[in-house]
Amino acid sequence: MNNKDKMLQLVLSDEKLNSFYEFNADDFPTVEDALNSENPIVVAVAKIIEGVAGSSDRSIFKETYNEVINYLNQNIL
Amino acid sequence: MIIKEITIENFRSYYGVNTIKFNDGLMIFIGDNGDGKTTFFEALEWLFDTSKQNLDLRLISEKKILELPEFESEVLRVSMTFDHDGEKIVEKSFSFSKDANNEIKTSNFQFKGFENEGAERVPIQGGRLLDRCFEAAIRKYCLFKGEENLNVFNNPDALNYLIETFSNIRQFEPYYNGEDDTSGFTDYAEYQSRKAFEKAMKSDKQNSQQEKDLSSKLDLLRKDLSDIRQRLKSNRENATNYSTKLNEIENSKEASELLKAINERLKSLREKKTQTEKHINEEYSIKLLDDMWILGGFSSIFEEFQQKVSLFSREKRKLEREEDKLKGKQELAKEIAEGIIPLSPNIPDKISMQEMIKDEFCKVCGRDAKEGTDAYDFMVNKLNDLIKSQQPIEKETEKQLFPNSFLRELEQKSSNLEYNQAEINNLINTIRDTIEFNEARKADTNKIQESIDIEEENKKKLLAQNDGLTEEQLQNAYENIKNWWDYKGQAEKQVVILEKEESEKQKELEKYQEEYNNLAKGSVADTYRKIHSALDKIKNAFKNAKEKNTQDFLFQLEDRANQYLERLNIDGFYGIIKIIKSADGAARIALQDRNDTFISSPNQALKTTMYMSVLFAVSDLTALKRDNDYPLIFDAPTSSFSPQKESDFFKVISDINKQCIIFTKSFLTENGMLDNNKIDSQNCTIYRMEKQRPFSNLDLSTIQTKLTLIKE
Repeated sequence: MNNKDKMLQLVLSDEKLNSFYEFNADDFPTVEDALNSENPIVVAVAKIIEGVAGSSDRSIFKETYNEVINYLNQNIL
Repeated sequence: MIIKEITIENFRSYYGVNTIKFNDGLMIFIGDNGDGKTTFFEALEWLFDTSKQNLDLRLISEKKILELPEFESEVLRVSMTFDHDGEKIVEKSFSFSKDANNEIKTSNFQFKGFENEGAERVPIQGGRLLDRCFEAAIRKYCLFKGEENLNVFNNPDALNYLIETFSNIRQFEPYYNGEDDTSGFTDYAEYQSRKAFEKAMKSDKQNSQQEKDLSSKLDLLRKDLSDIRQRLKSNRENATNYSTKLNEIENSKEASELLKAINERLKSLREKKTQTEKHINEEYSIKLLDDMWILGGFSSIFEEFQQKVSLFSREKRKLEREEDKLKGKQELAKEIAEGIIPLSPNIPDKISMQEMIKDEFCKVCGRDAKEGTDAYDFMVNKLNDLIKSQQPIEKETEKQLFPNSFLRELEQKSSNLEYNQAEINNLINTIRDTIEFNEARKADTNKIQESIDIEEENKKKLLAQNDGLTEEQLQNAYENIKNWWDYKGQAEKQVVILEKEESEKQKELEKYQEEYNNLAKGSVADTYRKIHSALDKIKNAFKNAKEKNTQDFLFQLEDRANQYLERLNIDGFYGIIKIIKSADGAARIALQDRNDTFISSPNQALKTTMYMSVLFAVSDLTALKRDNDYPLIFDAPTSSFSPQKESDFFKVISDINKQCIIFTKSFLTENGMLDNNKIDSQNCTIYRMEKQRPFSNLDLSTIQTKLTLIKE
C-alpha cells in the first residue's frame, strides 16, 4: 500500500463522510479503485489526492479544483 | 544502515590506526573511566557531523604530537564502512604537522565517501552520502551520551519532529494544514465552492432578501467563531504551559522533600561525627615520655637497669667499707711503730727552744748540744715541728673513693621507678585500652563518614535526576506555585467558557447554514450547495484523517515501546508507557499501571528502560519508514542499574534483532578487573578498552587506548 492509498483509506474512513454519502471505505483499497467508483464523493476524494499529488502549488490547486467541481457538477445528485 | 567497520586513527587517545569490525547485533565495549569509551563515541559524533569542518587541535592524539618530528605531518582520520543498500564508506580526515616552533598546524580537511555501483567503487562527498544514508533526523534518535539524555522528549519539539519526520503527516500538508492555516487544498476548495454557492444564491432574485440576511448572519457567526477559536487555542496553550510547569514542580516537590530529608540527615551525621572525633586522643608521642609509655616497650631493659644499679650499689658499699678498714689499719700501725706517746709540740715553748738552739745547750737535759750534733739537730727539728704546729692547719684533702654522685642519682632513679612499677606493669594494658578506644571511635567515625558519603551520593543522584536543577533552585521551586495555579485555573476556566461559546456558535452557524441551504433547495443554486456541502465534508474528513494518522503513529509507538519495556524488565514491576501529547504538540513519556494510576517517580533504572524502550520503538518505526534499519549507539546508558539487572538487560538486548553498540564500565570488578563469569554469560561480541601500560598519571601524551576482543 503506497502513501496515497494510505491517505485515501484514512479519509474514506471518516464516519461522517461514509455514512452521509453511503459507501464502504474497505471497497476502495487503492486510489485507482476509488477513481473507478460509482460514488461521486469517493471519486472526488481520489481526484483530490491524485490531482494535488503532494504539491502546494496554487495553479495545481486551481486545476484540481476545476476538475473536481466539473466532475461533481455532472455527477452529484 | 548497518555499521561493518570503524577505523579511528590518531583521534585523542586512539593513537595510530585502530580498526574494529562490527556485527549486526549487540556489541559491548567495556572500559573504566578514562579508558576511551566516550572518546570512541565522540569520534563517531565527529564523523557524523555533516554541518561543519572541525579541525580542532584538541582532537589530535597527544602521543602522536609528541612523537611527531619537526616539519613532518600525520593524519587524523575516522572512517566507517557500512551496509546501506550495498557497501559504502565515509571517511573524515585532516592532516597535522609540527613547525619549527613546535606548534601544530592543521590542514587538508577531507570528507570522502564511496559507494559501490556494480563492481565499481564510486567516490561521493562524504557528508552528502551520510545525509542520504543516515539522515540527521535519524541520527538524532541513534546516538545517546549518558543515561540522562535518553529521554528524547526532553526537547518539547521532539515529538512534533518525530511525527512530522516519520509519520505520514507531512503528506497531509498540501491537503489540510490545521484550523488556523487555510493554505491546504481542502480549505481552498471549501472556500471557493462556498463563494460559488453564495454567488449563485445572490443571483437568485427570488430569495435575495432572505439570502442577504442569512448571509450577513453567517459571515458574522464565522467571524465570531474564528475569534473564539483563536482565544481557545491561546488559552489551551496557556493551560498546558502552566500544567507542565506545575508537573515539573510536582516532580521537584518530591525531590525537594527528599533533599530536605537528606540535608537533615547529613547535618545530624556531621554533628555526630564531630562529637565522636572529639573523643579521639592520639597524642601518643607526648604520652610516650610524659606518661612513661616508653617503658612499656622496654621492661627487660628496665629490669636490667635495676639489677645493674643494685649491683653497683652493693659494690660501692663494699669498696667503701674496705677503704675504711684500710685507713684504720694504717693509723694503728703507725701508733704501734712509734712505741711511745710523744710530748706535745708546745713543750718546751718556742722562745725556750730558740734560746737553747742559740746557746747550743739543751736546758731540758742539762748538756751541750753543739751545732752539727744529733742533739742540736733534734732541737732544730723540734722547733720546726712547733712552728709548723702553730701554723693554721691545712686540712688534708682526702681523696674520695666515689667523688661524684652519679651512682646515688641512679639509685634514686631506680628507687623512684620501683615505686611506679605496678603502674608500669599495667602500662601495656593502658596503651592497649587507649588505642582500642581510639580505633573504636575512628571506626565509628568511618561508619558515620560512609553514611555521609551515601547521603552525598544520593543528593548528587537526586539533583542529576532533576534536569540539572541546582540545590538552591530545587529548594526554591515553590515560589511561583500559587501564581501558576491561578494562571492555570484562569486559563482552564476560559477554555470551558470558550468551548461552550464555540459549541453554541457552531450550532447557530449550522442552524443558519441549514436555513441558507434550505433556501437553495429547488433553486438554481442547489447544485452549488451540494458541491459545497460535499467539499466541506471532505475537508473535515481530511482533518480527521490527519489527526487519526498522528494518533495511529503514537499508538504504534506506545505499543512497540511497551513490548520492549516488557522484555527489558525481567522479574520486576514495569507498568505501561504512555506518550502524552499536549495541545501545543509537545509530548512527555509517562508510566501508568493498568488502573491508569500515574507512577510519579519511577526509579532511575525503570526510567532508563522506559526511555530505551521508546528509543527502540522509534528505531523500529524509522526503520519501517525508511525500509532500512539503523544502529543505536549508547555511551554509559545503564549507570543506575544494579549489576544483575544490567547483565539481564544486555542479554535481552542481544536477543533483539537490532545493531546496538554500548559503551559501559559494567563487567568490571571494583579493582578494575574483568568479571569473567558475567562476560561468559553474555551472548554478544565484547571488546575491552583500556589504557596501554605503562602511562603517567600526569602526562596526556602517555595515554593510548588499547582495544582487545575478549568475546566474539
